[in-house]
Amino acid sequence: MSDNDAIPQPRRQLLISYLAAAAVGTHLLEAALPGLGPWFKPGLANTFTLVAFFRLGWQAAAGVALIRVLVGSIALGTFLSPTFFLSVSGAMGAVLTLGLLSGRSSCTAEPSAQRRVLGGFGVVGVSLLASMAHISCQVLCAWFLIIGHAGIFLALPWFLLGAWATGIINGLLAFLILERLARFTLLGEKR
Amino acid sequence: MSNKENALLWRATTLSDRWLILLSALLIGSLAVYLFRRPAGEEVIVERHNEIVLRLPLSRNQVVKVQGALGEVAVQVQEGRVRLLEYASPRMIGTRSGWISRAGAMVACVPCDILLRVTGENGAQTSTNGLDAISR
Amino acid sequence: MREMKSGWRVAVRYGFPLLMVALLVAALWMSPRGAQPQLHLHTRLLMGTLVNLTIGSVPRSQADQAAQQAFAEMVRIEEVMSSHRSDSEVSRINQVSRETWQPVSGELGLLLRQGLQVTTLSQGAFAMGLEPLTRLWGFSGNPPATQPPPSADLARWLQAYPSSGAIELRYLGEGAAALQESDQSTLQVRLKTQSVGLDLGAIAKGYAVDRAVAILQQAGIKDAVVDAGGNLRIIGSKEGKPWRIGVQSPRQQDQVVAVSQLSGNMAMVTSGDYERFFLYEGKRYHHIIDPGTGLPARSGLSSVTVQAPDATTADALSTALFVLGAEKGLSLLSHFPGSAALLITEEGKPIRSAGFVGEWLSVPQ
Repeated sequence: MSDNDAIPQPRRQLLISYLAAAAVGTHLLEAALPGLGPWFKPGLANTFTLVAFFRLGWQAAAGVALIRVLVGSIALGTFLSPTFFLSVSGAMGAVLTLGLLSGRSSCTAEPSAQRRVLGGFGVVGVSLLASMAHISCQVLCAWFLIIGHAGIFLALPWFLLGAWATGIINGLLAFLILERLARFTLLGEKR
Repeated sequence: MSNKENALLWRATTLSDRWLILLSALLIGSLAVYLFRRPAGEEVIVERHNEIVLRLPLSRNQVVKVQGALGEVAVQVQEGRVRLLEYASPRMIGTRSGWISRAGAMVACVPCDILLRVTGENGAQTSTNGLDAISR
Repeated sequence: MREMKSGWRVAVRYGFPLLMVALLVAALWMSPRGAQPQLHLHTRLLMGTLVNLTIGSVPRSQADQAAQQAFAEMVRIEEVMSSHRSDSEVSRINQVSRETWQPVSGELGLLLRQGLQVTTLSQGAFAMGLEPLTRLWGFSGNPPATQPPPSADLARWLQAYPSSGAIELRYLGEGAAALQESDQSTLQVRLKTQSVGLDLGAIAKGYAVDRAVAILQQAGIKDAVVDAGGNLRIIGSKEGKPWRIGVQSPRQQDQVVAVSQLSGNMAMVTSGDYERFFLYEGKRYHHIIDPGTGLPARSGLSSVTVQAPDATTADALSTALFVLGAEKGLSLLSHFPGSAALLITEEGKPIRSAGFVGEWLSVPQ
């Protein structure tokens, strides 16, 4: 799924840190924005998880997601709070979906933006699937840990709709970023 | 190359993606429809002193005056909804209740001894906070 | 990824989507429409409030019939106990001259006896003889009062109200035999002074709720909620799951500040300074009068919710605790095993007694 074999570990970790930093930064920026409420975050930070997935593979994406959730929660002071567990469950759902989809790697010679995963989905499709999984896991976690009765499922269509929209937006953004990045190899040389 | 094919949406999505976008939207839509389908009430029952004094269909817009314990009360039906309008209750002069339309919904003016209730399924009620009663 | 065993990968690849689908199906099945228990709701305007009966686990016809009987019983109790109705037994007793022993029905007598216990233990914070005082304040008037009564009238009332023995009960029968409810001739009541008049407003609704529950149980109902304008009692459960009962926020009428999950048997009654009140010259005058001062109780509380095995006790205790305040109120509870309370201060802070079943919501719903 990636040019993994081609790049040395230090370089790989550097790239992951860049993406993770971008993800955390976006996450904190979003948290600072007022208005939308605790449930309706645009989740733009997930864009970087996607970029990591398509450039570096599933494990890298998992790393970026995990770092984002942990560092983000510590920075915002929500570490180990119910919000934190919601974030973790959402991230786990998304990452697991990515893992499933990455089963069959497509032609590694293709620039990352054009990669296809299991089922022929591209960047936007993967983003949409991961986003749906993310919100579903969060709602289940909220139902289990916090709310306790089935009333929350009445709100499910709204949550799913939001996730559908942000999934597509994130996918498009990730695509654009990947297109730009495609001009460089993973080692930083211009193609 | 036509402009359409260069458009971001077209470039960024595969065939599977586009099917996915469409299907997931449809899925969410049908989920919403399933969850929110409620039998609409057909008529409203007006009770004075716990006795039915009036039955009004919700399909016809009208305002009917009913004699309450403290004077006249107006029951207004409009576009499938009903409310108590302009009742002179001791603590609330000239006020009105909220609209009700769902089956089983009800609204009352206790001092006027008037109760409005929309017909329909008299059983399950989905309250979003899941409470069976409130102690107050 | 290539290092993962292919069998494991296959399992994860197919298992996970199946799991997601299964979870989604479960979520749909759990949704309120699908899993609604068989509950029957009945509503009536009675006793000056909205009375809701929620009956579960029985067929509709049985629930309807039981509800009719329960409502009829509540109507009957209002006819006996209401001090607003001139033909009630309570009013008849109030019309007789003071310092005279007069017969009282077994039902009313038993209720008075139960109430007098609370009066004694609460040192008068809960009282059933305040009819002249409540008439003075006029909260139940038509239209209700919007300003306090003249202080001269209050002083006169206070002077003539006895510090003890306002209401006395005696039993003329032999020994301490069990009082029969239908026995008219053996129970007598005496009111001491003109300042005393029977007003059971702080206990009668609870009693009516208890009687309604008894009627429902006689009709074979095991799961129900009887809610008389916020004075409620639950029995059984909602098809295996506990009843969810909220406590209203004293200041935000549409919000709930605590949720209790109750099953088996529990009465919950709330007394608050927000139910009947008026604002006069910037001060709130509410309907829970402190018999010691003749003025609305100022104990630093905005509401008291009492849980007890029966609604009569819970009703009386909620008034008593409100008047007594947090410290004395909580020690009063120790005399009533099985009872507990949630007190909310005027600032909105909760004080729970040990044994109060319920969760305070940090974010009101």
